[in-house]
Amino acid sequence: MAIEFISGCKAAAEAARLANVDVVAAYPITPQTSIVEYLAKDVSNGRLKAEMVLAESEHSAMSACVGASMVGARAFTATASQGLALMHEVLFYAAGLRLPIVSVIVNRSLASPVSIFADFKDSLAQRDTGWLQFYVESCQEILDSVLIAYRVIEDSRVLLPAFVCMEGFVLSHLSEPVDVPDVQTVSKFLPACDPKYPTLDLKDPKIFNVMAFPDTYEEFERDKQISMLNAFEALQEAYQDFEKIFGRKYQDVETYRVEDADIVLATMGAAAGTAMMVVDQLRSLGERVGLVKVRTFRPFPRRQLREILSHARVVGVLDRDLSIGSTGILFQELQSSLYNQPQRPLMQNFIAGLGGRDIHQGTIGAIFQSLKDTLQKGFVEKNLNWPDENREVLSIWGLPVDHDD
Amino acid sequence: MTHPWYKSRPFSAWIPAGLSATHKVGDRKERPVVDEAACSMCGLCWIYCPEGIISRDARIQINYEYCRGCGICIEECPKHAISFEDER
Repeated sequence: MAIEFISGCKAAAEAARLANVDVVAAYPITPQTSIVEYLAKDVSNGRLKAEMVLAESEHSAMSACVGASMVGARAFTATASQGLALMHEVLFYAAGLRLPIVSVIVNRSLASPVSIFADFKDSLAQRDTGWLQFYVESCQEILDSVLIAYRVIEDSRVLLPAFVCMEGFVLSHLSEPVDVPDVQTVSKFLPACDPKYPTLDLKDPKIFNVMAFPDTYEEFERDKQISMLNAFEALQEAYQDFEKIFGRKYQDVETYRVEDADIVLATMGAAAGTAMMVVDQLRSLGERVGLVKVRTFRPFPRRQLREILSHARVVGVLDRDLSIGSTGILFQELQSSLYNQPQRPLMQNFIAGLGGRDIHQGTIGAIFQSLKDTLQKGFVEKNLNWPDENREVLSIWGLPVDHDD
Repeated sequence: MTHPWYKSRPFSAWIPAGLSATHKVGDRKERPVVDEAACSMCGLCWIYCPEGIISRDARIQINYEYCRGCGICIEECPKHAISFEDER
């Protein structure tokens, strides 16, 4: 165990090495490229004994992972943005064939206009593919989450693939002190790959991916749904074991000073760190505010969020994404989770940080101010808010500053 | 269906290979039968059979393990020497 000063990309590559993956198949794309470069180096110098497949596209990279996983190998890939969009078709195969593949997503916006900077549009556009999704806040959490992901998805109760998502540049190119455990310690948490699913086997030949007719297709989907929900149980066990072995504690939903909070802000990813500072500042001024960070987005922790937010009076959702024509995606999920509660909080959606715009303390301060106004008024004036809008551009383009959902 | 593989979760869509060993033919209600007295051994049935399961050595023979009962041989026979018979 050693503290190393490494970037998010390096932490992801170190996690794949520690997980002792058998196959890495990938295609380079900014800002994911250095993950694959680090792994290629590890494979070439013998630090990692794995097959490195440099595919001609992300569609092929994911297909190679599917093939590798079907013979029972532990497969790893990483991608971002346009690359993830190109993988889209194969993602359903990986989930439907129940293959425990981990893919690190270095979140980046999608063209057009071209942007290489962070928002969650790429991975959230894949939310219905049947993959688990974890959103992380720090370089340490990237490393830990990849190990936790493998452990959970290889569990026979789950057997679905998983994304571990970090924001491009914000985390991928940020260097932080990261506790990199040794291989022996990791093997206590994550045993060697032992596939608990039907594999391609010359001695026991099988036909995969056969057709399901209308009398069974629905039940295949339902089986995936049940397995995805089973992941909560497997995750809890993994978090407990992880804490025992490594001393770091994780939760599907992480909370900060919410116990007596009237106003709660919910978000995902690295913005949670900044929001914690703002919560501390407001708390020192006597404001009863708190923060909720959704770490596990798929399966969506509906029950946990209902319990955590049962006493909140106003809930704001900071979305680094937008479902164009509707609202932020986390907002939709959270609002629908709370709808049947007898006492539900007022909810407001805040869109910020799209295309890599920094989510700074001022943005979060403005959000809390808006939530405080809502609490005083007792009703929501605007569902959809843009707390960090560029008024100059809006004015040049003649876009309305005041509009709602 | 009570195969062990069918009961085991999770349900990825797979089946054991080699089904043709146990399931040789689909739902065949009638089988084509050759009237050897009428047959001229021209071989058109052998050419047209989509399953390739008609052999012609000294006489025309149909492999009923794999014949799907499509009736193309009956249609093509110029001597009307092949006809359907009920399976039962």
